[in-house]
Formats: sequence, C-alpha cells, structure tokens
Amino acid sequence: MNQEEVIAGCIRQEHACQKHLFDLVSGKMMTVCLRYARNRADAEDILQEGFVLLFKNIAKYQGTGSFEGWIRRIFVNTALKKYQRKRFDKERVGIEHVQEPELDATALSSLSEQEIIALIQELPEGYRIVFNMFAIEGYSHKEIAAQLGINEATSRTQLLKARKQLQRKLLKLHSIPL
Amino acid sequence: MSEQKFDDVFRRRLEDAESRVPGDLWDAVAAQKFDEAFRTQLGAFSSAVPAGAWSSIQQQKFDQSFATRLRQAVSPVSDHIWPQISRRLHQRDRTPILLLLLLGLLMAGTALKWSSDRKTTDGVFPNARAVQGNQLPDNQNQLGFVPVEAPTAETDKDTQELQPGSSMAENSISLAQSSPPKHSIVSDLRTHKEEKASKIRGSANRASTPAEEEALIASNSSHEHMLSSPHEKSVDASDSEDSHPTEGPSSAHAQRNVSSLSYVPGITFEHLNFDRNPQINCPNLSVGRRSSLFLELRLTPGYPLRSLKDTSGNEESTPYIERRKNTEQPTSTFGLQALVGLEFEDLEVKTGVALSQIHEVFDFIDQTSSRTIVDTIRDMSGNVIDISIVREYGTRLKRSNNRYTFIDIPLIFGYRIRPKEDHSIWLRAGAHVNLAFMKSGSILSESEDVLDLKEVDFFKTRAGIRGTVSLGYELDITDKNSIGLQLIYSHPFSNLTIDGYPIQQQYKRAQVGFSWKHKLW
Repeated sequence: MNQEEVIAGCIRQEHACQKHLFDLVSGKMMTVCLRYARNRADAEDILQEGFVLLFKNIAKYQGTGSFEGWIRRIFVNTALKKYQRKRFDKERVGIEHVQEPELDATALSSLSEQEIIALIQELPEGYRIVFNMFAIEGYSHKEIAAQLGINEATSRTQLLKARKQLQRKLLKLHSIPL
Repeated sequence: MSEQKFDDVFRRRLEDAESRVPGDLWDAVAAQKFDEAFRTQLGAFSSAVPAGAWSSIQQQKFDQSFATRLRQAVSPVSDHIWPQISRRLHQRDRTPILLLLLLGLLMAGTALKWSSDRKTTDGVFPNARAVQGNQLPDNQNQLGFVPVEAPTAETDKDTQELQPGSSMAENSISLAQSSPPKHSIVSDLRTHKEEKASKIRGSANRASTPAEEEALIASNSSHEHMLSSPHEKSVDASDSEDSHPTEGPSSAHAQRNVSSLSYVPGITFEHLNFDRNPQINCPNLSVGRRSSLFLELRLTPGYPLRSLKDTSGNEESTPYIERRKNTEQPTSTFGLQALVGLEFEDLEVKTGVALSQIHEVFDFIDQTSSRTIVDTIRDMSGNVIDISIVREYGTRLKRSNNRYTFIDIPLIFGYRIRPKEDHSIWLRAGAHVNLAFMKSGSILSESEDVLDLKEVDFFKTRAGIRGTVSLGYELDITDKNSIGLQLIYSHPFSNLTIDGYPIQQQYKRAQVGFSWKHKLW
C-alpha cells in the first residue's frame, strides 16, 4: 500500500488504512510528543489527540510538501496547545551572562535517543518548548513568538537558557568539571 | 627544401601579420588589473571577528546534533494507544441527542406545571362556568362558597356599599379571581367579612325600630353566611365581639343576632325576596389561558431534490458524479411522524419520532459485461471427465430501488393565525435531528462496478440535522380532533457523505403533509 492509497483510505475512514498509517508514523510522532511533554503519560495524551486530529483533517492535505512534515506539524501544534501563554508570562526576560562551557558537538553520540529525550524532558516547560521548536523543528524566533504569543526576545532567552541547562547536564554526564 | 627554410617561410609570412583583436579585450585586461589591485591590498588584511561568532557556530552545531539524533528517532508506542484512538475516531457525537432530551424534559416539565396549575384553578373555582348559569355544584361549600342568590331590593344598599354596581356573586368571584391562590382567597374573604360585620353593626345602630332592625340583621346575616366558611364561624363571632367592646346595646343586640343567625345551620331565607333569575356577569375562570396537550400523526409524501457536489477542488470527481447522476434517479420521499406537543394560545411546540425514506431508482446498463459458463461432465462414479468453459459477452441491465431511511427526532415550533372559528393557518419551523441513517440498494463505483449501498463506506452513520419550514391549514372537526394539510420544505444542514470524501450528497425535500391532531386536554 503506497502513501496515496493510505491517504485515500484514511479519507474514506477505512480502519485498515488508519491503522496502517498509525503503525507507519506513530513511533516517530511519539518521539515528537516525548520531546514536548513532561513525561510519558502526557506524551501519550498528545499522541492520541494528534492522531484524532490527523485522521479528521487528513483530507486537507494537499499533497504538496512532505506528508511526514505535515503530520509532524499537527503533532507539534497539538503539543503546543497544552501549553498556554501564561506559562511564559512569569518568565523573566533578559539573558544571563554566564560563560558557556566548551562542549564537543559529538557529546551526544554516546547517548541513546531515549537518554537525549530524557535530558530535554528535564528542562523547564518554557525552555523545553522553545528549544524543541528552534533547535529541532527549525522554527525561527519570529515564528515561535507568533505561535506561542510571546516576544521574540523571550524566545531567545528561553533558548539560551535551555542550551545552558542542556550543556551543564551533558558535561555532568561526561564528568567534565565546569 | 630544408627544414630550416621551411620554417623561415612561415616565420616571414606570419611575422608581420596582424590578427583582429576582440573589442573588449582591453576592458577585460583593465578589469583584471583592477581586481588584482584590490586583491593585493586586501589579501593580507585580517578583519576583527565578531564576538561570539565561534560560540554561535558551536551553538548551531549543538542544536544540529540534537536535531540529527532526534528527528528520525522512533520511540516505542504503548499497545493501548491505538484502541483508544480508534474508539475516539468512531465515537458518535451525542450532543444533539442530549440537547433534544433536555428539551423534551423541559417540555414535559412545562406540561406538568400547566396541568398542575389547571387543577389548582379548578379546585378553587369548581365549575365556575356553572356559576354563570346559576347552577352551583355539590361541593359548593368548600372554601367558603355557599349558594349565591341575587340581592333583593332590601339588600341592594349593603350590596352597593360592598361594591357599587355589582352583585354579591360578582363580588365573591371577583375577589377570588383577583387572588387565585387558595389561602389568599380565604384571607381576602375573611377581611371582607370583617368589613361587612362592621357595616352591619353600623346599620343596626341606625335602625329605628325593632322590626327594621330584625329585617336588616336578617338580610345582612345572609351575606355573613355567604362569606363565612363553616370552619371559621366561631372565630369570626368572637372576633366581631372582641373588636368592638365599647359599642352600645343596640349594637350588641345586633351582634348577638348576627352571631346566632350565623351559627344556626339550615337557616332559610324564604322571607327574603330573592330574584330567581339573576343576571350575573361572571368571568370565565376555569381556564385562564388556552393551553392543551395533543398527539399528532403526520403523513408526508413528497419529492426529493438531490445535490451531488464535487468538493475536491480539482474537479477530478466530476465525471464520476455525472455517472452517478445518470444511473440514480430520485423518485419520491415519504415520511411518517408521531408527535406530542403543547399548544399555548396561538403557539405550539411539538416533538416525537419521525421516520422518512427517500426513494431512488438505480438503472445501469453495462455494455461490457461478460459471463463465464463452466460445464463439468462427470462419469457415473463422479469423476470429472471433461470441462467446458464458455465466456459470453453482452449487455447487462442492473436495476434496483434504492432507499435512504432516516429516523429523526423533530422539534417543531408553530404559530397560528385564526381567520375563523375552527379554522387555523399554521406557520411552522423546526429541526430534525437524525438518530439513525440506513441505506439499501445499489451504487456505481468509480471503476464502474455495481456495489451494494450497504457496503460503501463513504456514507455517514447519522445524517445530522435538517431544518424544516411549513405552511399549514387546520380544521377543527370536533372539540378534540382536527385535521390538517401542510406544505413542507426541508433543508439539510449536513452531508450524507463523510467529511473528507470529495463528493457531497444532500437531499432537500418538498413535501405535502396530512395530519390528524387529537387534544388530550
């Protein structure tokens, strides 16, 4: 069954096609959900919600661009819905002047995907969302600000803080003294 | 010719020869020199690197390392996720049903309340219509009601004092009418009675002779009796005495007589000249508002207007729609409704159950059909000895009656205009919420195969909501029964096909309704 057939079947609400698509992308989308969620239970909630939205809106997929990218966007948006703007309101705007430790870009290579996800999950909510959107999804600060209803400066601050925390954790894991 | 000479020939010929130089050659050389000058000047120059550039590159690498590892990473998904998603996908939206149930409950509650109000009113004014005809019922003594006779000329004075221009019956009823609750009426009557007692005492004081006094007391006692409840008499008497302790002997005599007459059961008024044919203008108190609960049966034949729309945006389904239009012809629609409703003045609201069907004829001629005939020849013991296979080509005609069946809950509101007694014109509007949608018959697939309608999966299981408006005439054939004729138009607010399917299928309906209505009360 190719992609077009699966999509057509899902539009007709055929159970078999829906299950096929679920089997095809659920693993990757679970990773997306785990990155945004605090824990596995939250991630599973987002995953469920995302798939329900996906199947209800699959007819809106125009066939332009990557289908997986389109699906991923649905899951990211579903995850973002869980987090309200008020979570960012209390965040202090301003970049802390902290000397960033040097870290080899290959520091992650010794970690498994699940360990990396766990590292991201440990980040505070605001940091985690902005880091995911900027570093992994490739959104710009302008897009993040618009999506989350925050200032661009806030987005930048959150990202820097997220990086710093991740670097510290990684250094700690590699036993590099700060 | 030696080799040397040979070369010389060429040299001589070409030494002074001039070739044509391209026009922009000098410009190119000049530009090259220009660039060279810049290169020479800037080649060894080193600019200051912006602060944090390296850090920025590192950050990008840092982000990139996460993105690379995680973008394609697959995480295990728990087994319970898919069943939950599947259940949610095929879960029916029950909101309209709940809303209708709520409305039904509201209507039932309102009906009960009206029914209760009606009973209370009838209890306070038992058969008040009968009062109009001077025919009092058996339970007339309940709640302070006693036989009401028109006042005589002798009592007119007091009657007029009580309420100028009206009879006692009117007074007693109008008092009660103004305050329907039972306790309020009794209280009003008691107050009124005390006022009357006071007036009687005053009249007694004014009586000049014992005969006049007696006649006056007798006439007033009839009013007193009329206004007294059997259960209240002793209280009333003591109240009268207690409230006027300082009045004179004539007053006391009058009070005693009033009291004694009031207490004597079976008192007759034969010595009073009553008008036996009073003209009492008594208002209709039995039903203050014209409300009724009714049952209605409606039969609604009509014609369906089908619409098939291509919503894909690229018209790729248009040929298929044309094929369907050519093979499926809507013929008729039919409906049966059982309704219960409330009429209140000129408004009505009704709900119930509606069954309706849309009929179509499916007619398809397959000119490329074929059939295969397989003849198997066996011997006596059943072994196959020969097989003959014959394929025949020809035209196949497939015809079937398609039926789309709907079970709905209608909620209809109406407004009545009454041009004449027993004749009503009804303007109605409402909605039908679909509970179940079924289909049977045949349909052509996109690949021109004939499919069973039950097997296709692009139809919804519920047809959503459709709105109706109607104009109707109703004739009351008896007090409780009426028949009606309506022109009905019904418009769907949702599609029969599932969301996402590129073809929208809808049916509007133009119907004629025949109804019979029976009023329960």
